[in-house]
Amino acid sequence: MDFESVIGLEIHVQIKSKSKMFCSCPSPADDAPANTAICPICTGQPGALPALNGYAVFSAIKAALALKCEIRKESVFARKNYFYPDLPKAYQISQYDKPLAENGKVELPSGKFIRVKRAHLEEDAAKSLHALGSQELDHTLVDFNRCGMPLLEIVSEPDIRTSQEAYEYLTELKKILRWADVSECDMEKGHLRCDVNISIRPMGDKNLGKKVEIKNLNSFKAAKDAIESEIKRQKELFLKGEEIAQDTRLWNEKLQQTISMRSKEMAHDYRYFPEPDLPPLILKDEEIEKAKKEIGELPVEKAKRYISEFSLTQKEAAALSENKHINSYFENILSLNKNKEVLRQAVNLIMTQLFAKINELKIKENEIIEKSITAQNLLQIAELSVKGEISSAAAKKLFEICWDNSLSPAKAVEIHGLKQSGDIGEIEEWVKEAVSANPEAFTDFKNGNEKASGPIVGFVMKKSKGKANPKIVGEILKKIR
Amino acid sequence: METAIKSIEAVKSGKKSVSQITKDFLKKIKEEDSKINSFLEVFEESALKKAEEIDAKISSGKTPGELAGAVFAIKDNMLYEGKEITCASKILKGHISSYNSTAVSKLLEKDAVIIGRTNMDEFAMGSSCENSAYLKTANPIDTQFVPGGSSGGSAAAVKAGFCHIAYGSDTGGSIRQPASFCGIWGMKPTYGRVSRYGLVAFASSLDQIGPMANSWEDLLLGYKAVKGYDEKDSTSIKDITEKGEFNSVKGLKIAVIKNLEKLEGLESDLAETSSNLLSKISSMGAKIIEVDFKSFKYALPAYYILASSEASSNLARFDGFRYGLSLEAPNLTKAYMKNRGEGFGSEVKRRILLGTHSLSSGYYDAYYLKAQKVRNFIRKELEEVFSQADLILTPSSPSAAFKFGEKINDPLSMYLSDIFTIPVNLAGICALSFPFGTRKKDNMPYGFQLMASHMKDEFLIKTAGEISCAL
Repeated sequence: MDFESVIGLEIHVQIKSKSKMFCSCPSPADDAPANTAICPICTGQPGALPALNGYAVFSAIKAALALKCEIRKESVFARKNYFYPDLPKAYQISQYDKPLAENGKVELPSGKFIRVKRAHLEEDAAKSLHALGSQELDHTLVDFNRCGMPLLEIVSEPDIRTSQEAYEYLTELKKILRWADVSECDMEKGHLRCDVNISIRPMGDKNLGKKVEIKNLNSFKAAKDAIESEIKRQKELFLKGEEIAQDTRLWNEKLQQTISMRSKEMAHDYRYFPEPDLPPLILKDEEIEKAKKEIGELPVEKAKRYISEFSLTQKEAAALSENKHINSYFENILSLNKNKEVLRQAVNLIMTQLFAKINELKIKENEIIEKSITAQNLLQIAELSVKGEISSAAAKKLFEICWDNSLSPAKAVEIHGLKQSGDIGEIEEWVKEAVSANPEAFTDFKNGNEKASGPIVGFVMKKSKGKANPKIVGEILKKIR
Repeated sequence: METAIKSIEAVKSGKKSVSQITKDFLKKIKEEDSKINSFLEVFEESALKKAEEIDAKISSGKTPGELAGAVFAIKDNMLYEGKEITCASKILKGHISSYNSTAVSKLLEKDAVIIGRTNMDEFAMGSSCENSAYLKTANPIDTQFVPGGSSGGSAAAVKAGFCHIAYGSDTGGSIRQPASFCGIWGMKPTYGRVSRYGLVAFASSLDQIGPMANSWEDLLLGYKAVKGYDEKDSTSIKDITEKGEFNSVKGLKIAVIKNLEKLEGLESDLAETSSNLLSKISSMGAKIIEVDFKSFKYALPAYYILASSEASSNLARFDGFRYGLSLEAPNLTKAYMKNRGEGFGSEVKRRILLGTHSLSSGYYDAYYLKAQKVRNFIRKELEEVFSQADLILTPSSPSAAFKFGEKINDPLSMYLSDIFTIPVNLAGICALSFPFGTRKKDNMPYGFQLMASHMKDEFLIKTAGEISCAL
């Protein structure tokens, strides 16, 4: 029997902000000692009141726009009530029936869209510590540093069908949120947390199966593994004719299986109601327009444009659009150059030379590439190569020379003698030498094996230190065949 | 007793020192408060220290703050850094405020002396102060009677002359009803006019800090001392311009609610006093108009749903872990049950249960949402009245003060005590209670309530002052 899985994801993203959601406490450093970034507001002292962080709101608007959501001009904060030691007010300020954003979508590489049901603002809870290092405690400690940090909850529609799609959705989401500068989305640091809702049904069945929620997935891989394991568990139950309980489960990484945390009967009644301490959040058109401007064209949209307008490959388009800094460098190239051949050469240089540099030097994305090699210089190298003034091997060498160097490529060609030689006499000498050094290859070549010219051309290039124009080398070879 | 205004003048002119004024109050409290029990704690040391600081400032030639010479009491739900705060509840026993409420900050900045924290109904829930976990405050006029509540300690302290001005909080009538029972002035400002930052919340959308005093002049002083926008309270009003300018009672339109005298439980003496008051006001040249207030009877039930709903959430943080009472238990759930079971009194528990139920899934629409609709309706209806009238006049409470034990076992009859004051909180407008007339058999005072629309707080106090002067 074939089954279909119906999967929806709830993502909590920590919004990058200098201060917390409702107080002026600075966002704690990752290694801040416990309970050092706290105040009466975020620890829920009697009498303390929330005051909204406008920067976090602006970030949330950017994220919502990047997720193609409709923005609600008047959204309402609500209290989600439940008792737990990590929630000092015994309610979380969140949004409920009037969230900031609704009806968005995220495109997967396959072209499939996953709809975003809603995105809303809320505050994070504190961290419970059940162990100190490797030492298990017989009590629980609470660190309130994280308490009150701004979160954006993004809820997808149940459009996801496989663990792979879930993985891709998470990957795309991360790209978008990083692009919009909303969050670093570092799962290890808890910037992004993921809950999965999942049910299965026999293929073709219109009715939904019992929904199971999996909580606390702390990596994209954990999400993928948990979904796979859960699909397997549900299928087995189904085939045995047993009922799938509508419960909340936790992913156990060690056991590689989900474990029931609470049943439906034990589900919380959160008793949501409008937060009386905060007036409705009313957004001005200017604010939304400003956010739109800051996000600009999304990576996916850029990639599409690069492929259709500049005939880039999928891989090139993706590489040149995902990262904000590389993209702005590339956009600069695009604005400086209108020649298609030069652009092609420039893209080749970026894909090979520039990325190699970035990997080699472990250049962080926020460091400016422009400082090491200006777009103008890169284009000049590409142009010299297209015009045949330097060989492609020389172009690579030239790139190395110009990196972190104020020398202009033209000047560097002169100084380092990289100019491609068009002197036929000189090249003929080199070819002769090459033929006598590779007699077998030459015989093969004479017998019609075009590929056999390779070692001979290689010899010439080496001998000429890359200066010989390979085109002329080929022509001479054909002549003497 | 001298008013705050007179004392401030006396200090200014060098006739009196702030220390002397403070000492006089402390002496009186020491001698008389054992019978009244208005204070949960007297800040003898810090009050004297502050007084001496102000005197030193004056003697060194500096200009003291505008409240130098005035002595204040605060209700035990306003945070004062370094002082214990309990909301008259066992669950907060021993909790020390870690910061100042905005109202207290403003007072201290202006060189006020804060002499103590006053008794109240636990978490401001009640109308007699009998729900305090610590003390029974008596009415200073006759100690057989309750002082009203929940700000009963503040009302009693003002009436007994233990301070010039006391602050209370008013969620449904908690300033105006005790003011009326004790024969003093009490005011609930427009919602958002006084910062709630540092006021322990009962019902956030209704709570408001307000002054209680022996005269309208001191009431105005007490209001001005704490009013104003506060960025720490997102519900406080940004606009600072008061509305309405008071010229004369003559020509003012004062609305009274049709058929109010037929209300069940309204004392007959009060009905008579009321018509006496009306004829006096109209003889001052004000025009009395009768208006319909159809939603009036729904205000009380709507209030108890909304206030209890918010309270159930606001009081959920008191779990025995971070402040006050902390009893040990074998596990988390039992710790919640034990601390909350032993820490809260029965009225507080009743309201937490009521509010929790009203917000529960399946009941929300029938209770919370419906009550919210009533609230909007009341707001609109009152707006309409204010389009025809400058003020609305009602009694502050259906009766004068009752005796201890008379209503404590009958919550509904206790709740009716606030029937006239509740619509004001639901609409977010301002109102005050001023003393006029007495119950014949025991001479206990009556209080009357004047309401005005949003941001007309000073107009309200000045008009009421003018009326009371002419009575």
